[in-house]
Amino acid sequence: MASFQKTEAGRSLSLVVRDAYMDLHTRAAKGAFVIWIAINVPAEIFLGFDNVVYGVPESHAALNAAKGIGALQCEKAERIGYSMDLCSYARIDIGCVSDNFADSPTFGLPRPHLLVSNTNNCSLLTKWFDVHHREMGVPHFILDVPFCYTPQQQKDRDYIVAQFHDLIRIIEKMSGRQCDMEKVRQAVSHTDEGIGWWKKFLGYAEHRPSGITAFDSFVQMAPFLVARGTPRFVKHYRLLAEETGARVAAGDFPVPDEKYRLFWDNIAPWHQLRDMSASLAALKANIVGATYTSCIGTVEGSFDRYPYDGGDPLAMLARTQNCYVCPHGMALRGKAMAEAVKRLGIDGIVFAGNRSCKPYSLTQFDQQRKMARALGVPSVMIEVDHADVRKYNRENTFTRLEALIENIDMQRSARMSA
Amino acid sequence: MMNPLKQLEMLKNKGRPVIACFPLYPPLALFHSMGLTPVVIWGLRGHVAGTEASDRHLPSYTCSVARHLTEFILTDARDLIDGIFMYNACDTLRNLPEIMLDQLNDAGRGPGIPFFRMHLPMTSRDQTDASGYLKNEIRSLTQNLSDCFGAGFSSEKFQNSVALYQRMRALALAAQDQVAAGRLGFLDFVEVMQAGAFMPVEDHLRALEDLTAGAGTHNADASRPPEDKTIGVMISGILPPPPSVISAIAAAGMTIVADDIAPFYRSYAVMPAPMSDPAEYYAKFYDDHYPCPTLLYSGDRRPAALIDRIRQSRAGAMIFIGEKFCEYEYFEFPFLEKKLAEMGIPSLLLEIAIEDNAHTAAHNARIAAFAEMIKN
Repeated sequence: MASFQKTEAGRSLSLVVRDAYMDLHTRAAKGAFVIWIAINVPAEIFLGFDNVVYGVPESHAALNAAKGIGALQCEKAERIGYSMDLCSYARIDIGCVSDNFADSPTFGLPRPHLLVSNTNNCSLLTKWFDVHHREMGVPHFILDVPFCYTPQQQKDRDYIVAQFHDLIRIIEKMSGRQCDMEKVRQAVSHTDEGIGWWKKFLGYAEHRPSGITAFDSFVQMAPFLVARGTPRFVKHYRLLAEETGARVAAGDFPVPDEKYRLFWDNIAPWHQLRDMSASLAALKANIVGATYTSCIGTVEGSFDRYPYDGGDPLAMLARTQNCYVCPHGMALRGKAMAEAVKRLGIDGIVFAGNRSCKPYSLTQFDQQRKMARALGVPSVMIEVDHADVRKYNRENTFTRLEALIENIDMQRSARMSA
Repeated sequence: MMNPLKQLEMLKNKGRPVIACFPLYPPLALFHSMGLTPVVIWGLRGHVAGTEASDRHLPSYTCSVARHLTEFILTDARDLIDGIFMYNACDTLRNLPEIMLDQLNDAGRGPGIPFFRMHLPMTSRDQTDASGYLKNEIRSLTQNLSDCFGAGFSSEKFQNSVALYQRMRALALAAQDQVAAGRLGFLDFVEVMQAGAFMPVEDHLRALEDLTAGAGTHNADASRPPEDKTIGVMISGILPPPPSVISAIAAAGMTIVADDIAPFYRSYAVMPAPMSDPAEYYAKFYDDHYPCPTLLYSGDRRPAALIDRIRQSRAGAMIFIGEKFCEYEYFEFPFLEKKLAEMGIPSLLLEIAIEDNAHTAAHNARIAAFAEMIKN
């Protein structure tokens, strides 16, 4: 059975998130230039400015969902005309803004001076931010990242870098402050170092039984969203990795009787983390890895860390813009997934179809067949909206997960007989 | 009557390579100038028999445009096309090429069907000058087409092709005016425009010439010209409504006086003058394109363009034709509805799902109620 004792890293996580939101509100109240960004806009750029702060609506939406108020916020957006078919992060955010963050667990986000969306994870982020752009009258910068079917090309990288320069120019003009590229370089270094620890943390999934669950890693993504590029980011992930290492060394595992090692493909089911983790543990199953967490700090087609060489920080940021699963094609996704499945000794893959994220979900039927063909690993398709609990059916989900486990057992029996 | 499969078969028999273009706004004149016949694979509702092949690949929460497109290419059209083109029109479409290629290759077609791609910069034009990037994309596409089909590029041919498409678009606008004036039924207009997506532009031109020349004789009951006191209405959407909805609009005493439909007005409203260099031409073509929710950089121009169109057409109401799961459109509806309400323009949002050719009663009732509300 999974234990839910708060670790040192867990306590640190709470503090990092709390302090990030406090800092954001405090500095905004004192006149800082506030930017709302899409999740993968490189925040390191903003650390090149003295008094520029950023909030991440997607991260705030995930927090709402994890706190159990995702549906409440979605309904607010639906009441003012936004379709239930739209991404639940977007509905949560639009719902929050509609009543000035009345039910937000973080007192919301301070009003922005600039919106920066991007097209890498999904173009709909731009449509979502356009809602705020039109309603609030706040300028909206669209960072356009070409989708890639093969490794990112130089022409695309140059195009992204040019946009970074334009973004910096616009912030300088609007905020009246200059960007210090040396600070950006330092921020990129901090992120790189922190990601090194993050990868070490994820690496404890290779141990049998696994030193982590994917659910731990989902929760521990938060600093990546609110604190990357800072010394505290490094400190936190170092603590996380070292503490996890010590627990593994001491024989302390989240699912000590782990019998089934699973892999997750899609965004985290924020409203089901605890229930799903505990229920799987009761079945002696552990989701030990996920595409969602593994792709951080990589480049498309691999889950290996892509290290920073200390050179042009904007080039580095541009090079990693396609790393998140959605901005690249099925072949690259499959390559990275297959490597992870082999490395982690995965028994089964859970493809989580997600109505709120079509870019993540559209190729999953084909990917499922490809993984079966290439690796012989059984898998299951479940349906989980990442933030709207109304689109989740626990009974259906666990019926399928149990069927996957039976399938794994049958394969094992067949192998034993052979 | 439109029959995409038959039309494709006829095109194939003519001997020019057929390039199947994903929606929405491909560089048609460039393909035409290089000896290809471009067809845009949309408007297939009612023209594909189910989505069995597509459903093996795409989840049920994918829009009908993508599901029909996938079905058509993986089944009926697979032996009739010589190339496929797509650009980053939406998040769904960008994920389809690999699914299709895997299937086409699995079926023994080998690497036979070449896939051409282009990235259309979506960054706002006033924040980043992406014209160089776009021109490079067009030049690469031209070179790839040339390499694949052996057709050299000719500036003269390109300008001639642009002129043909300009003529087609001018005729489409003229036909639209005739619809607005009640001399032409909207259903007839829709049929010719949708069939045009699967015709060589020369044939589409002739069809439009016939349509506009015969205005006043095409008035089927379902697309009756307006009588006195009908309500002028504008319709907006990624696809035209199904015939049953068009009929219901007419039956409710409303006349479609303008459209903001992606394959219609959004496609032909704006077109630059012919230029010898396709890279220069398409940089202007896309920059100046009539705003569409899928052209992310046109977002700031979109509400004003829509409102201008309503004013010019003197439409008294708006009907949004929501394509189920087309989030690009759905993100905009609440704001546009609010803006229209501020202008005193009532609006109605109809959601059309993939099976809604058959499920028409609810739409009919809502349209009738909307018309009643306006009249009262």
